Amino acid sequence: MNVINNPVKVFDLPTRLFHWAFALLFVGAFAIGKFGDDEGAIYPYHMMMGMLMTLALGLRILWGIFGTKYARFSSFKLSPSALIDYFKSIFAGNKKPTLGRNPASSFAAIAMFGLIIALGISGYLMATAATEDQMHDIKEVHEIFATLFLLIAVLHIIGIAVHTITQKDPIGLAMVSGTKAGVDGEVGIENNHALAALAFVLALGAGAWALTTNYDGTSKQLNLFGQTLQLGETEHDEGQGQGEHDEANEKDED
Amino acid sequence: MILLKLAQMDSLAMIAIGFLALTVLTTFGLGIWVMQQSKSKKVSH
Repeated sequence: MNVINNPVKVFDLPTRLFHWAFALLFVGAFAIGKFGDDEGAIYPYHMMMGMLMTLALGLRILWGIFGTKYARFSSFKLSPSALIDYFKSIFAGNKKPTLGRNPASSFAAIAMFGLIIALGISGYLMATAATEDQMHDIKEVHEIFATLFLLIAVLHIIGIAVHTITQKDPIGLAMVSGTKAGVDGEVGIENNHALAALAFVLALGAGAWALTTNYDGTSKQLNLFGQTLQLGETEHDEGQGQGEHDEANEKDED
Repeated sequence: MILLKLAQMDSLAMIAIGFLALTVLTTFGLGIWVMQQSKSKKVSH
């Protein structure tokens, strides 16, 4: 297939908005989770960002079913043979122009989506853990998922750089502009779906608003859908915990 | 277990997340700049 110089629309607005919101939310959530103080005022925002990522992913899954051609999961190239062929063409320096996602990018996206589901579930289990030991065990698993996500994200970026250089196809920029150089025999999309993009922004905004208004900074508790989630440790908790330990020690001594 | 060890390496995580943040911001900025350039080219034509 040959590259045609006329740019064609490939990634619609909701897909691009999701991509960048997802990337920024992960950077924020990971940085706070890894380097923030567990008892600090900012730490609960790690969990709120994680929840927003899960919400964004839920909307992306819907768009992956009902969205435009290249946003749909059915357009993802997820066969191992396609992935091997793609790597062979990259290392051989052969140009294999295609609209939409390449196989490596397709696999990376699906892996990251799966990991966000795993991170969401483990994060929820951490916030509702019955004992501290249980919480620490789940935290270890949660951190492994987060590290795996970071690893895939870094590999994804390296892959984009290699693809851009070897294929002379700036796919990273295509995720901003939405357009790519046309490919002979492949058709782009016609509509940017600005209304769906607006709905996505409004849904994320509403999610952020619901999280911040239902969050109590003093107790670090979030009340959502009738459930109370503990988003961080408080000094009061620590004092209470210490008191409980003291009482237990006293009983032991008795 | 490699992942568990990687998860415990704070400095590596800091470099990786810094790299990720920088790339995200640079790509986004560059993408906007390229879009504006191509728009202004179209106008001048």
